Amino acid sequence: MVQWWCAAQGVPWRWRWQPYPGVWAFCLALVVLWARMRARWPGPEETRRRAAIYLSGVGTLWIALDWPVGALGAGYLASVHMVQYLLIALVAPPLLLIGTPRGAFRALVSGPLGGVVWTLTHPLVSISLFVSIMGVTHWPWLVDTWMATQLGSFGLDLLWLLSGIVFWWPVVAPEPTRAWLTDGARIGYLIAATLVNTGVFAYLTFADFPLYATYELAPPVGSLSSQDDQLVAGLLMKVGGAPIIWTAITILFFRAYIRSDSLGPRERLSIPTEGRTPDGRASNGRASNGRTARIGVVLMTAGLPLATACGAERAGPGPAEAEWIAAGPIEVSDARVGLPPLPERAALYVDLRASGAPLRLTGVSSPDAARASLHTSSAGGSMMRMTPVEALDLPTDSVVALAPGGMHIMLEGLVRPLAVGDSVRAVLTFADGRTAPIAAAVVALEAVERARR
Amino acid sequence: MRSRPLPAPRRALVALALAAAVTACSGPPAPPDPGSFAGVGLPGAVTLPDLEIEVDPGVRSSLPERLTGAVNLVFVGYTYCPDICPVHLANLGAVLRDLPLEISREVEVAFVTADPARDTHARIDAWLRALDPRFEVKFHGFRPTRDEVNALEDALGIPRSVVDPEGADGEYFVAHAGQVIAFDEAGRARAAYPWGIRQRDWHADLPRLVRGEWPPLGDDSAAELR
Repeated sequence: MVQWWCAAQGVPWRWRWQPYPGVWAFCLALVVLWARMRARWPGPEETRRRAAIYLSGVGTLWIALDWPVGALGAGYLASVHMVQYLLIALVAPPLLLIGTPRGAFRALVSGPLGGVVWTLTHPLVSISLFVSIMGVTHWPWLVDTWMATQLGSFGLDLLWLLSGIVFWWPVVAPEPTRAWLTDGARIGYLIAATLVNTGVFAYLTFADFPLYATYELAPPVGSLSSQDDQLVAGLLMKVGGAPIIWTAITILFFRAYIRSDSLGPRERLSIPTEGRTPDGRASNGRASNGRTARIGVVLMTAGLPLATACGAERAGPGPAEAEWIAAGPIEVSDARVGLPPLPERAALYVDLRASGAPLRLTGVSSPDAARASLHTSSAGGSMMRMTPVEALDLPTDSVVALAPGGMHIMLEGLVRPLAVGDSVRAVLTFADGRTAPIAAAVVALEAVERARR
Repeated sequence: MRSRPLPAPRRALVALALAAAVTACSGPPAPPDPGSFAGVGLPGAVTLPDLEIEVDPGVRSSLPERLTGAVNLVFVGYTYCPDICPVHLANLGAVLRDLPLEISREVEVAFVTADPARDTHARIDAWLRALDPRFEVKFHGFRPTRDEVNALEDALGIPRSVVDPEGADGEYFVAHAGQVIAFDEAGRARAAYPWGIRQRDWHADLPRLVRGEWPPLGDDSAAELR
């Protein structure tokens, strides 16, 4: 199955490579865009070193988004999700900004978007945006809702990249320039940024219990509990984010130290200053230059329509939150077995929907258990009673959920002891004789109820 | 700093961006209403039944004798239960492991089997151990006879459990009440936690119960246990 963006499937993690064409297309588009800008605005400043810096920025994004980091971060580990954040919002943007041809910046700020760029890159605005996006994108509700869909996952990555570009712009971008934004002021700006991530760090590190359903309920990877995973994520925000920003602070500090104070701030950045209006914006940019640069920025920030379209298509016509897997004449989602306290009986829960014509489920078997049968726990008042279910109708237009306290597939006489992370197989048989094989992940009992995304 | 007044549209944009930033920051979810409980309040008329039940092979004791926490939770079920019993207690166990020790040590949990024919003491112990491998929860296993369990259910005010007829394979189910009943230090039933209670509900309620705050009586409190 081809994965476009996210991998939140609710199946146990496997170290098996999966293609992420959406990610490739996005990274390729960034390279193509850069090549076109470079062809359009050549110059002595466009050195091989800056080309390498830009490409390493694209490479950083690629590592953060493609398998396995992208897949682990999207659906399994909050700590890897945090690594993605650091790479996308803190590492890649300055590299991309430093490597982008200077002419593109000049064309952008002299074009119609110049005013917006001037406003957004005011240090007070950019740091506010950066902090807000950092805060909001680590808000559990948003993470759990957005990460459940390909589009949302892509949107989150894009928002991070955007916030990173805006945040780093006043530090590394040559345009637009503010006379008062000296290296010293930039150092102050970065130090302020090191203080604000403490909020997210504290929120994650000192949380009493797992905050993100996405990671709490994900099939576990290795033996890391979701609480520890979240703790690592919080520490990464602190100890991982700080070195990146402090590296930049060190570079700025030595640059300011090495260069003489007699030089103005613009010279310190070695940016040619001729042809500017007093407010520091280029006055001789051509309109067509501005347009190409605008297209570039739109591509970089608003995302590649291809990737977006593919993501939407991948999500399919049904509820976008769940990953549906085709199984014979039906589709299944979120198949899971709670690790039973004692091995005789286990309950398998799964969401079902018929993909073609309506179906009637009449039988269940499992190669992993001596007997498998469909039951429902029904409540009369507070009384709970287990009743066998002879047949279950699956309409085409709705999802039938087998869930705790309702229907489940009961497995008796399991052929081997289960462990969290195992997979249990079952075969559903329908009235018309067709069958659907399904595989369910074994999860901790307390995760069964909330394992649904 | 060179002063350079921003044109009006830009000033507006700056203000807008800052306002958006501030609004966005105040976004995180509101804490649950401090006045509300997930559990349903009970009048406290029912007390822990003083019935002698086997707690270990050849050892008889009673719920009030064994349960000495500030909060005592009682659940009637059976270990062959594939669905509700283990999930209900696993959720509770996960939360008790997570709560600070000064809270969790005040909470004791009684599991009373409604299926003594199959649930031996060894089996009950193994089942509870699997739910709590590191002995972090004060679980107590009780193994009454079928008559005793029904008498206990009558005393608790919950419906009598019923052993369903055996299936073709010799297996059978037991129908039983789905809720956990919470008793205070004095052994009075003060709250019921029906099936469907989430971990976050336990997490919010249990510390308050330990501190002696109990859910107020609701309109449906009388009917809740039936």
